[in-house]
Amino acid sequence: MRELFRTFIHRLVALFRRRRLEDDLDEELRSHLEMAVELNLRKGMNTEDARSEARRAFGGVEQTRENYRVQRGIPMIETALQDLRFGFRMLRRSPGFSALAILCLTLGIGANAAVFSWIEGILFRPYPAVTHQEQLLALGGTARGEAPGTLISWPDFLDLQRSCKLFEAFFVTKITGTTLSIGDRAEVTTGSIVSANYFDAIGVHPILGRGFEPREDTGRNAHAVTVISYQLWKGRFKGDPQIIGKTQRLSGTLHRIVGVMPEGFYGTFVGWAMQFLGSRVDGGNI
Amino acid sequence: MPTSKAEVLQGTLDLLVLKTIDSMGPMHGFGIAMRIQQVSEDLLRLNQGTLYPALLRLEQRGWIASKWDISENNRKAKYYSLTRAGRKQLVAEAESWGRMSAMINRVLRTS
Repeated sequence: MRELFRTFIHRLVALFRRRRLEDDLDEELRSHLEMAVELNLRKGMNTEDARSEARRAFGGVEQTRENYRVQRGIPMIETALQDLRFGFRMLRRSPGFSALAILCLTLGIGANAAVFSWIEGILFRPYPAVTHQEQLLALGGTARGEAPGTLISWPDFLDLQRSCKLFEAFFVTKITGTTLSIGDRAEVTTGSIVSANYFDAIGVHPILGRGFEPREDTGRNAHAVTVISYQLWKGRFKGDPQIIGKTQRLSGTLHRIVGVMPEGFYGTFVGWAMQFLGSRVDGGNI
Repeated sequence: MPTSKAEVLQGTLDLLVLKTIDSMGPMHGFGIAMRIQQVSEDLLRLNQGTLYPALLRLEQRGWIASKWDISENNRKAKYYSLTRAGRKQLVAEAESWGRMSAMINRVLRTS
């Protein structure tokens, strides 16, 4: 084990001292051959025989050099470095072609990155912050005499929630818009109406205040409450820490702000950034 | 002249080199090659070149050390000497070689 470690260190160091070590090896092999020639001369051979005999006894000098190099460094890295140097030389030799090739690669990689991040946003992970988005499924209703994909009725939704065991949870959500007037500024914003179990179903909970309580979405207890987005809180309300409990007029109706969603949550409609969530599924104004 | 020379057995070159350096003291590659051929009475077919990767391997493992010096004929040469770890390794390898060859001999004699 210690030997392995030592060998590795030795090889690693050799990687950075290649020229020195190469000279060393040359010198060592030359000295070997010269000694052999000298000995042969003393044995009475002529110069030529002495030389060829020394080489014969040594075996292939180039082969020895090659085996030595393999043992000395880390051949894989050395070859890679060689390739790299060669590549750079070739690039320098024809700058016009190189520039064109680099430009093509740049554009190609850029376009690919753009397409894939777009695909990720649209297809793979369209709802940031929502846990288990791959399990989300949109369900639409049909009604006689109407185009398919119409809204599902509230009683149908209750039936599904009660008796369909195929899914962990059912929630309803509907896109809506409103005029948001704060101070003397009014603007059109997008939001969604959701059933009270929305937050549990998608696994995202407000960072301030609360989500909607059961039965807050329908019936007698339904009242005008809203959970706002992080962007809205930071932007229009200047991150007011006392925001919970304040009221805000949405399309003319006063709503009480009961919660603020976490940063990076944009609702569950592809391509939309929801600014607020309302709870009155059965006939509120928003 | 002998009709056939033995090849150096796989893995035994290290042992030969260690033992040679041990008995001769610091020595250069050429001297080690000469000594091995001489002691084996030229029965060993050794390409002297194969010695150098072996020497490097032993040095990497810390069993021998090398330094440049002047030879008896006033020539610059790299001298190899045994380290303490090398001496231990030599003892261990000689023992295991002894056990191995004794075992093979036993097998050959009995069957």
